[in-house]
Amino acid sequence: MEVAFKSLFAGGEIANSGKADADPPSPRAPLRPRKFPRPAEDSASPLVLDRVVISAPLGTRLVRRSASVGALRAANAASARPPVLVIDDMSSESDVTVATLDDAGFVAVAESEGDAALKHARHRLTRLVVSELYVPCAEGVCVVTVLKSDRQRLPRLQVLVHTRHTTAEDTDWALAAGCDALVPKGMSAAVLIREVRRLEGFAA
Amino acid sequence: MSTSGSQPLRTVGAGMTFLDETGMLWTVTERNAEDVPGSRGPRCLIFASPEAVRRVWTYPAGWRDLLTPSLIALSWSR
Repeated sequence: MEVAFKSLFAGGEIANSGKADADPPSPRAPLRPRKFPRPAEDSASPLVLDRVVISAPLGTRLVRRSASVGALRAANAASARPPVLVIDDMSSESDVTVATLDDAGFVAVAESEGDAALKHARHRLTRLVVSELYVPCAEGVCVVTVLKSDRQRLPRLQVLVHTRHTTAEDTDWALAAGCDALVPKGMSAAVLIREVRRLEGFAA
Repeated sequence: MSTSGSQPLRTVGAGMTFLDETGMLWTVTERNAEDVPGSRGPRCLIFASPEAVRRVWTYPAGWRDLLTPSLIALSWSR
């Protein structure tokens, strides 16, 4: 018997409803009213919006006091769409992945070594990773496992394994390593982008 | 917590199959996920097709009762 999807979530029992599946606290807290500090009159903060002197005589050029609205929008856009870290020990393959992501509007950067990738992810608080499967690092035999284990520093991290290793055992290995999705190499760019966009929604 | 990722996740109960709107065959299995790095619960659903694999952490206990459109929607969730 069909049970409506929404009603199951609305009133029924939810699997994994314990504490472990609760989202980590988000620093952006979208439902909580936020108070922004009013900038000082002479503030040089780059986040001060444009200010227009309405009473200026005709012909007077409008004065821009600080960073442009465009810069502000760019900063907001950057926070809304997380950059993608591509981890692949084959540079020729990571180049293709980065180009595919770039063409789809993502900002993607590549690392070819596990340790460098870990450093990058922790320094930039990366939220979206596209990684080859068996990339080792000093902290473990697979950088995906180490990244997914680091929930304290990377609580919202989503990892898509994009791999040339496509046996059932490889897939089981990737799932046990903690990946959130997997796309075998050789699939179309559209498939890769579709799956990255799915994870992007969870990482934002 | 798993340190190697080499142990396959144990399947819980029966799986299901369905065809999505493009005719792609998907299999859905519930897996034990307690030892998965970054685990968000004791179990998860794995949606697998020849094109992609998706892991879903939040799902109704009666997911096997869902018809195809609901399973497709569920595969897009977290």
